[in-house]
Amino acid sequence: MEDLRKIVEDCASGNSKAQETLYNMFAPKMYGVCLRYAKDREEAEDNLQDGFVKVFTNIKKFRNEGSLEGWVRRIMVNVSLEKFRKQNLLYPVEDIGKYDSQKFSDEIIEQISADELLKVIQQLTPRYKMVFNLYVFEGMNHKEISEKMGISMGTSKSNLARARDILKRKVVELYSDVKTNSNYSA
Amino acid sequence: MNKKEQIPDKIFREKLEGLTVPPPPDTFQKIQARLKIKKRKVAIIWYRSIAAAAIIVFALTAGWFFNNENKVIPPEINTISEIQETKPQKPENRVEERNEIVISETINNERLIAEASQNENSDILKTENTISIMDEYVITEKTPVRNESHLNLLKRINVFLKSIKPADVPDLVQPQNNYPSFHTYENELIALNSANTVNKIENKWKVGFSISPGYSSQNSSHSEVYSKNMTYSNKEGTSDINGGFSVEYKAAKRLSIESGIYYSQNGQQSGNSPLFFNDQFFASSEKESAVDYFNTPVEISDGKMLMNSTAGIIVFDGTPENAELSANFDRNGGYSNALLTESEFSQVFDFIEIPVLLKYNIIDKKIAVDLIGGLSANWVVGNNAYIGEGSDREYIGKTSDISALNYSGTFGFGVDYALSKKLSVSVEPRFNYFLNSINKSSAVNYKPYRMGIYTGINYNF
Repeated sequence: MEDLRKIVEDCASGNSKAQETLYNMFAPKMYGVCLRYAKDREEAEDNLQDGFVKVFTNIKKFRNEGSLEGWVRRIMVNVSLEKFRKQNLLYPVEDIGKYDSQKFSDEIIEQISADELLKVIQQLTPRYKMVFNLYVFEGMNHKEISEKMGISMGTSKSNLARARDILKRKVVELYSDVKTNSNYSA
Repeated sequence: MNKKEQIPDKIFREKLEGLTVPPPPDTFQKIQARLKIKKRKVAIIWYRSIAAAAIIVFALTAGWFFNNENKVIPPEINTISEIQETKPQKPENRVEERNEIVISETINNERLIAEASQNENSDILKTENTISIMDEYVITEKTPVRNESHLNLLKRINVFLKSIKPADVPDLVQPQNNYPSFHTYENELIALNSANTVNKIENKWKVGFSISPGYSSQNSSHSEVYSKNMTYSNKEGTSDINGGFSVEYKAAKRLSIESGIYYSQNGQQSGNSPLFFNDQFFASSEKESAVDYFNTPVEISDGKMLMNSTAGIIVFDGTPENAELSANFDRNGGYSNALLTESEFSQVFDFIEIPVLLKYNIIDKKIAVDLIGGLSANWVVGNNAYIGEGSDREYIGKTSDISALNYSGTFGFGVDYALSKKLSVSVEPRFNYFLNSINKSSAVNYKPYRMGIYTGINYNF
């Protein structure tokens, strides 16, 4: 804990070694976070860079109260949110009706790797992805999401529902691929 | 829908929550590079901000300065007695009355305009109170449109008051007098500020007269052939006095430009040449006395006597008094004639100098200190060669090949002591050196220099 405090202090005074230490501590985890919010690895790396630049330029403001990891993570999420607000892109709503009747269970998802699930999330439209991430991973409620994203609570709810439906469809597709592949390998 | 058929957020969370993926290996280097750029940008923004702030401050100061320059300070408008006369109302009454005027003005706006236009030629404005109010507006008169609107408003108020309550008009209008008038001490303050402002503006220009005792000498070099028949060059300098008039303009807070016209003199002396001090010409017993003689080779050409000297060839007008010309010496490579005289010899040049100097103020107090540097154009107005010194000095001729126009550089520093707002005395040690050889001949490189202490008196306006 004392070491971490020292690292923070050194980072604040611009010590590049301390910055590298801090980066090595959190970068893999934060890259994981960025990957969930980005459409691909390239965008995730951009966001990771932006995030760490903000971390190092604002680390003086970190008062060692609460988790440093949580603080860094919030910065990463905020970078993604900022980009979303700037782009504010409109994407066509995908047709999801046909997949409502598809059945699958926890077991299905468990057979799919984290990397595949990540790709499924990345394929979501920016808004669905943002709502889903904020709701599921950041634990925000619809009110908070609506404020962060500048949308109404109703939109947040419907976006979450649609995000889930799309994910459901994609997971089913993946599951069938998994089954096919297992048949080949058998 | 079955709960199990829903996408289970929990499983997504569990699988991806702690996801760690190593970022590309050069990501940290990229971050560091961006941090450095950011730092540089911050520094640039900081410098730019300072520069912008300085410009704004300068612009505001200049704006304030010039605005004040144009301000007309009228003679005292309200005397104490006038102010006292207009003070009998209780504060509460004044507030009520003002409110009443404002309300009335607002409610009856249209009516007032109509009435005012009907009474355009009325003599209401001639009332004493109104005139004093009008006078007040003269003080701050900058935007005639605004003043017109004020006067129109007053006009309308008066019209309205007269029309509805003629008897009360003086009482109601009178408190207005207290509102816009300046107190006497305020007027004094304005006048004082105005006077200060004027002084500051006046001090932009400075004219002065200075004289400078100094020491002048020269750096010279000569071609081998020339120097073989040359007088002995005495490196000792001469002391002299220069002087002139200067004009200085304060271009910025710390920077001034000075020019003017100065007279200066530069010269050099030649001692006795050791050229003939050998056994061939003098017996050993005569050597000692010969040292005191100026004895240098001269060339007789076309009836003129020419002598190679430090600053160039001297063309003699005639043979100097008390000098002997020794002819037909058998010498190798040199002139066969020699001039023998007991006196020393000097070449003197007079210049009119027009300098352009920059003065950078490093201390701006009652005793001000400036750094001085610049260039001068020097016109040769006098070119004389002499034998002898002081009152015994005899003019012998001119130095040939002297450039009419020469350039010199000056640096030094100045100390200026303010005797009053208008007068100051200055002491400026300056070093002036010629940038070109004043002799056009390729055989002679002669660059005078001078150190002088310019002591002067200046008038600021």
